[in-house]
Parts: sequence; structure tokens; C-alpha cells
Amino acid sequence: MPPLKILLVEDNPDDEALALRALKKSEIVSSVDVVRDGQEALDYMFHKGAYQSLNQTDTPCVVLLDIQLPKMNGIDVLRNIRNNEKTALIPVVLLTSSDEERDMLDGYKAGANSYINKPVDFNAFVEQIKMLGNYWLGVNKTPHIHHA
Amino acid sequence: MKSRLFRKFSLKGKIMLLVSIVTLTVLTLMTGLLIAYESYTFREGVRKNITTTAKIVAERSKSAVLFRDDSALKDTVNALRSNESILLACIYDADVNVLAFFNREAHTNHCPRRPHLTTYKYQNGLLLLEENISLNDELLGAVYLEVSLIDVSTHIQNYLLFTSIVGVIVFVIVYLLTSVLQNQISAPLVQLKVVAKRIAKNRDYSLRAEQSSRDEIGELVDAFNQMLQEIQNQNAMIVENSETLEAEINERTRELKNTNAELEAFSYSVSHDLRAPIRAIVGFTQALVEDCGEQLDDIALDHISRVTTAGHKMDELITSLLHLSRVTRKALNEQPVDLSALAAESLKSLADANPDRKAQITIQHGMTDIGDIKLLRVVMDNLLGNAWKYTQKEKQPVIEFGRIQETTTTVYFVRDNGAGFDMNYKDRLFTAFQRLHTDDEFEGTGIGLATVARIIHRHHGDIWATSTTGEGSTFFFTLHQQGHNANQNNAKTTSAQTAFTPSPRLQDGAS
Repeated sequence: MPPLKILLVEDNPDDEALALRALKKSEIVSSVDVVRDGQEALDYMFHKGAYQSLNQTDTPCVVLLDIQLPKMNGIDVLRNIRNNEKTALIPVVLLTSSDEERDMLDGYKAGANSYINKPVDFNAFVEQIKMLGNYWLGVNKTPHIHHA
Repeated sequence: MKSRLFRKFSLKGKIMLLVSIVTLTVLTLMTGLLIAYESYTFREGVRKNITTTAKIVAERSKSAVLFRDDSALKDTVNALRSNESILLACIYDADVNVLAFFNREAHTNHCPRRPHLTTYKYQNGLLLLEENISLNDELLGAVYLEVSLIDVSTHIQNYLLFTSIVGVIVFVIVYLLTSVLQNQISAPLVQLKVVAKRIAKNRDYSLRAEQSSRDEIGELVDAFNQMLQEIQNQNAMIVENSETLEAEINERTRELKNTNAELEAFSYSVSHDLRAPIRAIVGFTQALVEDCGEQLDDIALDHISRVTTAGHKMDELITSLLHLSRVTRKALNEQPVDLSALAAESLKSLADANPDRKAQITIQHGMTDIGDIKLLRVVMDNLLGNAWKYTQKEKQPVIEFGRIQETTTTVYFVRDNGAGFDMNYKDRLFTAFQRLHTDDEFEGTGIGLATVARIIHRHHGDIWATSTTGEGSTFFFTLHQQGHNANQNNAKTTSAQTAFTPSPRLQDGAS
């Protein structure tokens, strides 16, 4: 069985590095693909553009999605994912620095499974990533529509 | 009743009625006077005629009376038959013996035994007339006549008929003339009325009444038109003013919306963009310590520790600032709020976060008021959080939340026996970034009380505080204070403090 796949949608390279570091430190066995804007995220999810060669087994188990993204913001990316039958059931966790209630509401309305406020403290961030990984890749069960 | 009926008539009707009454009165009076005069003069004429006749008879009868020539007297009397109005004629001698008489068949009167008339009198529609027969001042006898006045009444009846016909003709002519001429008076007024009604109905103040005469009605029409002009001018001015005002309001609203949108965009981007670099600073310094900690000496580690602390502090500041700005932007959702319960929750979470701390806590039960529960929770968290924070160095911390019922308003207070503050700087308590303690003494951002003050002001209340350094402080606040002008500056807060005199209990408790 190939390692479980996580898609990280993050435009800020610092945040990306910190997220990858946290994932590594949290000892979650997974492979992480990173895309840097909303359009790229949709290309990845729907196997278009640069990601045409991807196949069904490359579908991620969970998407960690930032809200503030170039080209298309995270909420719109989420709506597109939910509107497509193939991707509608994939767990999406909004991972963002915003604690605006508006973003939270929009996120949940668009079909987010979870909304995480990235903490400044790195250790706290690692703790959160660990919980996320354990929950979405371990505890939580999703219908096996995309795993071969 | 009559005047009420009169009021119902139109102007034309009133003029017609007026002229009719006057004409009828004048005609009736005139006719009456004429008839009275005519009946008098006609009767006098009859009397004079008969008197002349009586005198002639008396003259002719002198010798016959003197010589007792009865047949001559009989002839004389009978000669009077030709005058149909004479009903009875009698000739007397000096001793009042009837010498001769004639009496018409229809007339039942007979010669009176003695008439005793000085000259004449009218009686029962008859003229009774006596003429002496005398010769050289010697009374020989008398002639007595009774004359019917039927001619007089026939004449008067005819006269009445004639004057009535004339009266009716005059009345009709007056009526017709009046109904034509009254237009001169009523037509301009009627026209004025029509214009006024049309204006009242259509609110078209550009209409004008037609000027047709130079009398009082003409002046009325002038005044009316002037008034209309004035109304039109004022309306134009009002419209112009309201348009200007509306434009101004629209402009202001647009500016306000822009400012709000900018503020919102600003805080949104602060929320997102300012945090990322701090996260990077804190995250990578921690990564630095983890990955290369062995290569760093104590000085380097101390520097890194300061960087991390500063990052955390910066994050805290951003969070507080965002909180403050949200408190201002968020719409109030007012409902009954149990402040006692809020305080209890707040203190419980403080106690849970610091399980090793003990404090004597008193909360008055059942304190409910109207407000936005989320914002009032922020108030309680901040005020009790401060009380909790500033009593941390006390051996026996005491925190109390209660209320005082003033005459017009309820004053809530949060009292502690902690570090207190210097009353000289009380004006700076509720200003953002103003702190009365150093971070070494007590940590803080200096935004909490500014946020609390803003929430209280949004609830149309006031907040103020009293304190004695080292002995504790008491924060007072009100909600929905009557006459509060929602003035969100600190001057208001200060003035409220001087206006409020704490009760003796409170002054004791402030220590």
C-alpha cells in the first residue's frame, strides 16, 4: 500500500516549510504534495494542466488548504472541489492564519471539514498537525471511492 | 337655526337672499305707507265732499226750517238720494225734532234723537256728519248725514291690488338685476375658490387666481397669489435644500462605507498577512534552536529567546487590535444577559488556567441586563482578567462583582485588592496602548480596557475607575444610561467619574 497522500495548498514558502517541518515532526507516515495557488490546486485535484499524468491513486486523503491564495482563494477552491463528484467527499481542512469569523463561516458553508487557526508558536503548530494527521489519516473513515 | 340655514347658502344665494329680503321689506313698508296715506287722503276727500253737500243742504234749508215748509225740506232731503253713498239724511229744528229725513232701504239706522256731534266722526264704516242750520248766529236746526265709506274701502282694495302688482314687478326686476349684477361680486370669489380647491387637490402651487377687480376681493386675490408665490419659492428652496442635503448624506454615506470597507480590508489583511511573517520568525528561530542549538552559545540562545518572546508579543498585539476593531464594527445583538453567570464562567476559566492560585471571589447573584452577550463576555473577561492578574501577588486575593442601584441607573462594579493604579493617570486607563504598569510587573497589551470602554460606550453606558496604589481598584460601569450621548471619548468617561459619587460602602471597599 502506498503511503497516504496529503495535498498542501500554501503560497507562502515560509509557511510551507514550517508545515512540512511540522508534518515531519509529527511522525505521520505520508507523502505530501505541495501546490502554490488556487488554480494549481484545482489542476492537481482534477488532473489537468501540469497534473494530467496523475491517476486516481494519486487522490489525496486530506487537503490542507490556505484561504489567502493567489489567483483563486481557498474558499473558491473548496467550492470547486465540493461541486465535482469525484472530489466532493475528500476531507478538506482549512489551515489559515485568519481568525475572522466571516472566513470561518464561509469556509464551513463551502463544505470545509475543519477550520484550523495556525498558531504562531511552532510547538503548538506541531501539536495541531499531529492531531490533524492522527484524526484524518487514522481515526476518520472515508468511503473508499478513490483508493484502489 | 336661521343663521345656520343661512350659512348653508352659497355666496350667490346669500346675496340673492339678502337683496330679496331688503326689497320685500322696502316694498311692504312702501306699500303700507302709501295705502295708509291714500286711505287717509281719500277719506278726507269724501268727508270734504259730504261736508260741502251738508253745507249746501243747510243753506237751502234755512228758510224752509224757519217757515216750517216740510215739503220743501222733503224735496231737499230727497235730492240727496242722487248721491249713492249717503245712506241717511235728517233735518232737525232747534229743538231737535226731525223735520224731514230719507233713509235708504238697505240702511236700518234711523235719525238719532240728538246726534250731539261737534262736526263729524267715523263709526262702524260710516261717516257721521252734522251741519248746523243757522241764520245770523241764531241756531235754527241741523242737518245730519250718515255716509257709507264703502267707496273708500273699494278704492283702497283697488289701490292695494295695484301697488301689489307694481311691487311684484319691481321685485322681479330687482331679482333679475341682482342675479346678473351679483356676479360682479361673487364671480371673482368663486373663481378664487375654484383655484384654491384645485391647488389643495393637486398641490400645484404654480396656479394663479385671475385678477378681475381692484376692490377688496381684488386685494384678496393679490394676497392669495402672493402667498402662492411664497409657497412656491419656499417649496423650491426646500427641494433644493433637501437635494443638497441628500447629496451630502449620500456623499458622507459613501465615504463612510469606503472607510468602513477600507477598515475591514485593513483588519482582514492584518489578520492574514501580518501573522505569517511572525509565524515565520517564531517558527524558524525555534527551528534554529532545534537544528543548530548545539552550535549556539548562551548569548545567542538568549538573543533567540528574546526574538521568540517578541514574536509572541507581536501576535498578541495583533489579536488584541483585531479584537478592538471588531468590537467597533460588529452589529449589536441585544438581548437579556445574565452578567452574574458571565462573571462566574470567566472566573472559572481563569481559575482553571491557574489551578495553583486561590482567591476569595464574591459574585452578586441574578444580575441581568440587556446587551450583546458576546461583547459583554469580553467586558467581563477583561475586567475580571485584570482583577485576577493584578491580585496575583496578593497573599489573600479578593475579587468582587456586584451592583449598586442608583436612582436612574444601575452601576456595576468589579473590585479587587490588587496592585491598583495611580489615580493621576486614570484618564489614560481606557486609551489603547496606554499601560500604567510595566511588562516586568504585569504583562499586558494595553488594549483590553480600551476594548471594554468601546463596548460599554456602544451599549450607551459609561465606565470609570477608582483606585489606591497597592490597595486595589474598583471599575464601575453602566449600561443604557439615560441621557447618554454616545460620546466615545475619554472626556465623557472622566466627567462621568466626577458626576458619580460612590456610596460609603464603596469608598470603604475601594481599599
